[in-house]
Amino acid sequence: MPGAFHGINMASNALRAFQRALDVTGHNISNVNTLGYSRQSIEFKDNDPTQFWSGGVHSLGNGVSVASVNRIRDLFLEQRRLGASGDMGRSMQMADGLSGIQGLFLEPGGSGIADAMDKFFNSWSALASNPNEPSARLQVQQAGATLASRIRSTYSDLRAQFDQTTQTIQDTLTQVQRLSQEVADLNGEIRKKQAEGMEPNDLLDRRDQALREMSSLVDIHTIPQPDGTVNVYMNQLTLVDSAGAVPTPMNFDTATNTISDATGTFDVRSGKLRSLFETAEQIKVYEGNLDSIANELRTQINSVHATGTNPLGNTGVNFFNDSNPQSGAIDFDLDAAVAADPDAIVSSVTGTPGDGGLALSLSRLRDQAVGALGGKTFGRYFQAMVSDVGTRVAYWESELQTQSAVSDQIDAQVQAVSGVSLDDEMANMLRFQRSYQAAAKALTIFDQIAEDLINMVRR
Amino acid sequence: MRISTAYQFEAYASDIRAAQERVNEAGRRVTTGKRLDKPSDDPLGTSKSLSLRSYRAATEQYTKNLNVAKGVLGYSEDALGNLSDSLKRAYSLAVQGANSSTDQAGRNAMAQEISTIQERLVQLANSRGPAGQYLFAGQDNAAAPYTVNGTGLQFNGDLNPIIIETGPNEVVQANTIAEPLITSIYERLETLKNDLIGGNVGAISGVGIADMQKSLSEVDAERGSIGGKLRQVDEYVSQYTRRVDDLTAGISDIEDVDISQAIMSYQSAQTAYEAALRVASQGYRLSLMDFIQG
Repeated sequence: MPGAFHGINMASNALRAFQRALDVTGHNISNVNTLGYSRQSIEFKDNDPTQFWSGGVHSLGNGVSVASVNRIRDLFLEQRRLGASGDMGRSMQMADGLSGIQGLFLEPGGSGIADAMDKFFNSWSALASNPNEPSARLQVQQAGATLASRIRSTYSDLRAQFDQTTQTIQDTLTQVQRLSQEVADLNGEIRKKQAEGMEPNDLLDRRDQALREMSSLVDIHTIPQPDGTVNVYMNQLTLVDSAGAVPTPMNFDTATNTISDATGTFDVRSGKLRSLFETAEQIKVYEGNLDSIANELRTQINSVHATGTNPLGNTGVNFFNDSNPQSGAIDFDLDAAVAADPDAIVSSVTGTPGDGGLALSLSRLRDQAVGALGGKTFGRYFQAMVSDVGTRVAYWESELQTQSAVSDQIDAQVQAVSGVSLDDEMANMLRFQRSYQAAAKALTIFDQIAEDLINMVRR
Repeated sequence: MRISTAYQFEAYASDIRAAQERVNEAGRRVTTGKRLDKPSDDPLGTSKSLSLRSYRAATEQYTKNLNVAKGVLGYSEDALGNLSDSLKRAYSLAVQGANSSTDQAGRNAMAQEISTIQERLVQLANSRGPAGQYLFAGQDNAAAPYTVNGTGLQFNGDLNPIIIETGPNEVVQANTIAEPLITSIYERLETLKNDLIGGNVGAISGVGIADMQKSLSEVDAERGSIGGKLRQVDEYVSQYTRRVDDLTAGISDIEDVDISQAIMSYQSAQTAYEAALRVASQGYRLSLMDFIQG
């Protein structure tokens, strides 16, 4: 048989439950701007009824209590989001890195290598038609110096980009290590809380956020464990398991797209890290191209230039500095003698002042296919390079757009499920407030009844 | 779909950002006039434009070379023209000298004039071109090629051509090889001079007049060939000028925007931007809170 204060108990339970509900609403509102926060909802349950006899067995409800506070989320979407964020990280880094390289070439326009190369061959053509003119010789000297310095400075810009990329690779690995540690730490706390029968919703959110960040860096997959923790793997490499975070391998090889340590070598297949590897490799390719251009200019120009006689009467003079083995673009420059005196420049086969025959042969190298440049002319070879980087940037930019669209879509879906809506929360707040008021009203009524009873007895 | 508050604001913000980016991009196209700013805007177009630029640069250089050739040819023609005038005078002197009515004193004076013509010949044969080079010295053109050596001329130059690049695998010879013509004209004048001094009327009328005619026609033939080359060079220049214009237009087609179209797309981008701002500003204001009393 329910007691006289049954109603008061019940009402105060309700007040407590609605108070909690208002707290949850307040928590949601507070975290409306928190990255990775999943809205929480409160679930009520009606308390087991009390049985009593009154001409038969009856049940009398015992009011309400809080069943649970849940994170609202869609696990399937979460998994998709991890994958998409890896692809997105990869496209973004590829587009960024390559467009940085593209910027170094300063093409199309009048300040790049293509322009300098045209002017260089033109200057020989001008010298061929005006071998007597000292200014024509000076022009060859300047055009040669400009071409050499543009090739050299583009090369050193590429080098700087390469060093920066390598640095970013190291930073990224450090970041993976840090995030592994964070996930492992959160795993520990979550296990403890769950063992205590608690719902560590906010810890779960934080762990999801860390995993998301990690997945944009490397291609991870996660396996949830029964104790609430997750194991994190990158292909064959374990990053986090029940024992905690595994130290991330810090050695890397951009050519094979792998990272390694004493325990083995592991593939990197996606994410920002993979793109950094590929960017570094691509930079090496362009550096190699510039080396080929520099070395072939040396070979082709010098081999003709050295056969003639300059106004100083010297023969066997190189136009560009040369050595065996050839040193590539890094120190590409005029030969010291040519840099010092334009009269060291050879325009003639015979040495007679009006002979521009050799300069003519050099000017004609403009249209000559060079075997070591894949049978292309110097100009074509460089054009192909610029066009190659342009094509790659365009590809990755469009890929990035696609990936952003995919990622935005998933984000929107996730937000639709898990995001906090202030309007919803306001409505909930009103609902719980009204419920609270009603429960308070009920309490007043029960109190009134109790008071009436007490007053009746006192008399 | 359920719209969360953060998503609503983020969506507005990102829509506005995107619209703003498009306005900026369209605006840049209008202000710079460039469609192709970096290779990735149009990789194929970039390659084509670089190739056209290179072709244009070469053609411009060929045009400059042609103008150099034109200078050399023009100076050479002038020199030979002056020589031709002098030879005409020498011819008329020979005709007068062959006339029996002319007395020896007159012939001596004529011989004196022939001597002046010889000096003039040497002077013209040592003419310099636009860059100060000796026009008739072949490739060895830094020093005067002709010096008087006793009664004859000594040639110190060579007979090599000066070749000027006028196109891929195309050249034109700019200098005129006037040897042994100059030396033989000098010798003929020397003979005429001696015959005038010696009063050899027979030799003058038999050989001297014919020699002068021959010299004149040989010089005129050289001038004719220079004239032909000049016309050819002019033709090339006008052809190349046209080609440079075509190439410039071709490059512009690839690199530059159609300005009216660019302005249109700028305006439409701006309209879209304004619309995004308007919608967002309305959306930002709406909240259930404003409708709840107390």
